[in-house]
Amino acid sequence: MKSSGLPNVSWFRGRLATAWAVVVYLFLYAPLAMILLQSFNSARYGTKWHGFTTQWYRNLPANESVWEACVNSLWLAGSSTLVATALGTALAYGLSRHWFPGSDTVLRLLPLTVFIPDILLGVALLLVVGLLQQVHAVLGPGMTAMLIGHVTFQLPLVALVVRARMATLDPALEEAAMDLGATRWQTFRHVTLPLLQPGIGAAALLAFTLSLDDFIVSFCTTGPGATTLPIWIYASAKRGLSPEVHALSSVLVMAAVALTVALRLVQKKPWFST
Amino acid sequence: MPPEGRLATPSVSAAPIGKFVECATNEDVQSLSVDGILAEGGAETEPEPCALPAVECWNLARRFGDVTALDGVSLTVYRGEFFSLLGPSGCGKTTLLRLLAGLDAPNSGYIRLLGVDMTGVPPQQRPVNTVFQSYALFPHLTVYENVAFGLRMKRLPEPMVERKVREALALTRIHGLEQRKPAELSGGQQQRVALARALVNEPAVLLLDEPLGALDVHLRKQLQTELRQMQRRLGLTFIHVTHDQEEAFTLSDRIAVMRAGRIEQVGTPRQLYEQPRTRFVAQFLGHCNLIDGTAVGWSADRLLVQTALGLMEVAWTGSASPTLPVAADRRPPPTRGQQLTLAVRPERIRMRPDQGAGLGVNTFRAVVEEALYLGASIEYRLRSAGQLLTVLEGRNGHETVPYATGEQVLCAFSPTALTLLDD
Amino acid sequence: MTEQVPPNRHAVCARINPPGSPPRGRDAWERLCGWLLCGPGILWLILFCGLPLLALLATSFCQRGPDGEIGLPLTGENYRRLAGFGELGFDAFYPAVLMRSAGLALGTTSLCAVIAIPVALWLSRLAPAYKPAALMLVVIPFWTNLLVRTYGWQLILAPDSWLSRFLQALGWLAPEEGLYPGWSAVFLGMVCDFLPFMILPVYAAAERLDSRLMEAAVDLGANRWQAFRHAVWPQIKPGVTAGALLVFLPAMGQFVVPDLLGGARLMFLGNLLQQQFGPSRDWPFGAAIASVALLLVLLALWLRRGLSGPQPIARA
Repeated sequence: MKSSGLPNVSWFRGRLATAWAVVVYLFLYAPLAMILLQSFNSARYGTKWHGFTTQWYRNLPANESVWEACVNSLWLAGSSTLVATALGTALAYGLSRHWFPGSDTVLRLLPLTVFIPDILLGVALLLVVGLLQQVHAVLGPGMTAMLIGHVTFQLPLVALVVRARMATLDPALEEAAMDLGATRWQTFRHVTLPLLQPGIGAAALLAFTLSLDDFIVSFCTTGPGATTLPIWIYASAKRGLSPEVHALSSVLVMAAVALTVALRLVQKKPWFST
Repeated sequence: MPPEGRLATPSVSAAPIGKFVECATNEDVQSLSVDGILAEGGAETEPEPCALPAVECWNLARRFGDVTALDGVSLTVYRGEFFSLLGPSGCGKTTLLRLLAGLDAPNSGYIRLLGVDMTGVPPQQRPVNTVFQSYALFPHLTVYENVAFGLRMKRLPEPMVERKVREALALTRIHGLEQRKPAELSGGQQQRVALARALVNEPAVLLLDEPLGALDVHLRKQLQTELRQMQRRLGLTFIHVTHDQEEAFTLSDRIAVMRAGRIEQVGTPRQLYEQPRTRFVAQFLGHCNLIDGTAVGWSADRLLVQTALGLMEVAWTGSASPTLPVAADRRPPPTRGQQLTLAVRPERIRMRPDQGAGLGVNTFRAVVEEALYLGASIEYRLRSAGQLLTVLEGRNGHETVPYATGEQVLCAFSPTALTLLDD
Repeated sequence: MTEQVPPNRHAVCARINPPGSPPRGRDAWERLCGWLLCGPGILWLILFCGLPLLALLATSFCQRGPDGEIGLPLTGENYRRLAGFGELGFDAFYPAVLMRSAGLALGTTSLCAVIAIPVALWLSRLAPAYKPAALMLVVIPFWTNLLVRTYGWQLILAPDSWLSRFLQALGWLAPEEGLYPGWSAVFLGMVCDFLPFMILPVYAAAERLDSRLMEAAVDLGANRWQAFRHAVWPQIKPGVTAGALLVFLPAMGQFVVPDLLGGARLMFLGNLLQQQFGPSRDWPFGAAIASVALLLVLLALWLRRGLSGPQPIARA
């Protein structure tokens, strides 16, 4: 610290700050490391190290409830992301390029919906779904309700991310396209959409991950046979620690790492540089 | 207005026109109705304005909330003209260009392009193309794809697209950059691509929004020359927006000087410079001395004006003097006793040492307050009868000793050097 | 010939759309396009977010029937109960839950801020070569499943874990006792969960930090604390308030962490809600709790608006 000329200026570059950052990183990764470590522990009960094994991973594919939860999770994440990305992109584009009565209000309320805690959205949907169930069983809790819940928390986020990207677009580009004879649709298809693509990709990936990770909204709106991975893990954790959960969790962590890297590549490597 | 039929008649055989235009007229006349018009315009070898108007604006107004960007602009631009809209930033020149392109709609007034009313016609269907200020090249497309964009949107067959794009690229001297992305080009190259992208569509009118504003001085000069040559060769109508007086003078056949949403004066560069009609035009285009006075009478075809500097004779262009660049002044002649402002350019005032001789016509005594050496000329600040005047003395050959500060001099100018301002 | 456009419409459009947006001459067509594009999304949010929340508010004034059904007449009983005035006189249980949740959220927010600010500053001044990797390392836990992380803490803090045994050996913990379940476990889990939400906005603000200001402060003789207080803090403050909001609001409603790490003795807002909507089947009372929570959220958002003006939310 003393050696670096102006200690006052560089104090948060110093050794103390680096040490603090390392501690914080260790803290962030401690639970993930622990899970990963325990997933190779051959002990059936407890966290004491009994030796290395990959048995829990090998057990996973045989576990039908895990498979079912996995399929449910992926189906839910995939379909909700599709719906939310389509609706959210249209919403963002419409709000940025068209004026209509009420668009001001929508613009003001949209960020607010992001801040509504999941659990409030969850119980509100549970309430409605519970009431609708008395009308007809199809309207009750289950995959449909979960899908609706997921799209509801993904949609405003997608719209905000795409709108942020939209704001960086030079409006002269769209004008140039129309000036060159492109119709509105052609302008959207050949200019706006390709330029928005990195934003839409990032938003979709974000929506997908949020859906995969979501526990609370799913938990509130789940019904018979509609178990997702987080719900399965929660149930297992409530029952007591089991090594298969460690293995499954490790797989999820790896998937999250892969998604994060993918997201970075999508954002970092656009087709052009501006 | 000539009938539609005549407008659309292609005159292919006429005169030496560019290869670029020739191709367009021979084979794809059917693709766009403007092709024929373009060819006819292209037949004009002289840049002199044709009698046929390309653009007519009538009483255009555009308001953004409380801000009035355009306030009753009427304007006619003839075919084959290089026309500039000149004015300080915020004067409404870009707004006018956007109205012409159809990118914005006027609150009132109308626009006719080639005699056709453009009210409600979207930009896609107007026979104009724009070179945008920041070029607005599509960053995700290559140079080739950028230039081909307009043609592909019209679903032209690909071989034709390719031929036209090649011609446009050759015309704008872009070689070997077809597969580059705009971000990989220099400013000058981007400018050429933007030009090629607009020209390839063979617009009846090309709109240029400060096309050279972002370039350095050297490149700007070079591109100015190219732009001018290209316009003459193709015989196209160019409407060009700029705040750079020199650029407007270099390029244009005619210029409209704009201020605060209004057109102050329209004319050739020479008319604007030598016969400014308003204080704003006089002072926006170079320096100008303004002298206030009162009309006292007439002497033959000259107006007599009493000023602080003495009695001045002003050539009244109502009598269409052959020495003047403009046609007859159609303004009503001033009446006796009317308050007037006269304008005279610094370089039109001649100085000579005061040897006590009597004062002739348009001659007065002045004292040198300051002398600034500018290299090619010397700028003097003179004071006469309480009025400050600027005089530019060119150093054209004869060895003159510069006047010293405090020296008394005789100043004179010809009656034709004086212009009567409207305000 | 003349097309008359109402001027105030253009004023509105000029405000929404930057000058230089496509022409908006044909207003009806414009509006139709807007509705067609935005309609589905808006309708979705109204149907599945707005209406359910209103239903929640309405239900909170209903009564629980004998079989857990929602019934009339309308009553303010649920709110009275939540305030502690139940049928059996004053009982601090429910107010305590609310206070505990608020305390947890506040504590988590302040802990996160204290921990995150140095890290964010360190990140912002990191050499460009390491910065992307270091940032990605912050983002990865944020992407991993919350349950998995909480579960990891369960393993670390369990009575027979290395950490617990180490602390037992030091005599800081009674033998056979773990850190989990309990307050400390909840705080550890919460801070670990929400730390990225604080680091990222503060980092975004620190990135724009004008280092010349700090140099000027040092040049004028400020010591470290003064330089931070007067040169750094005002610049990163918007980031901290944004981060505080991103931590505080979800922390209020957090369910997983208190549920898995807090044990049965510690009841928080999330658990209480889950209990009312789940085993107890007292939906009107649950709705009252949710409505109060929603009110608190709106209050926090409104306070934030007052504090630092309307700002776009930090981009995750």
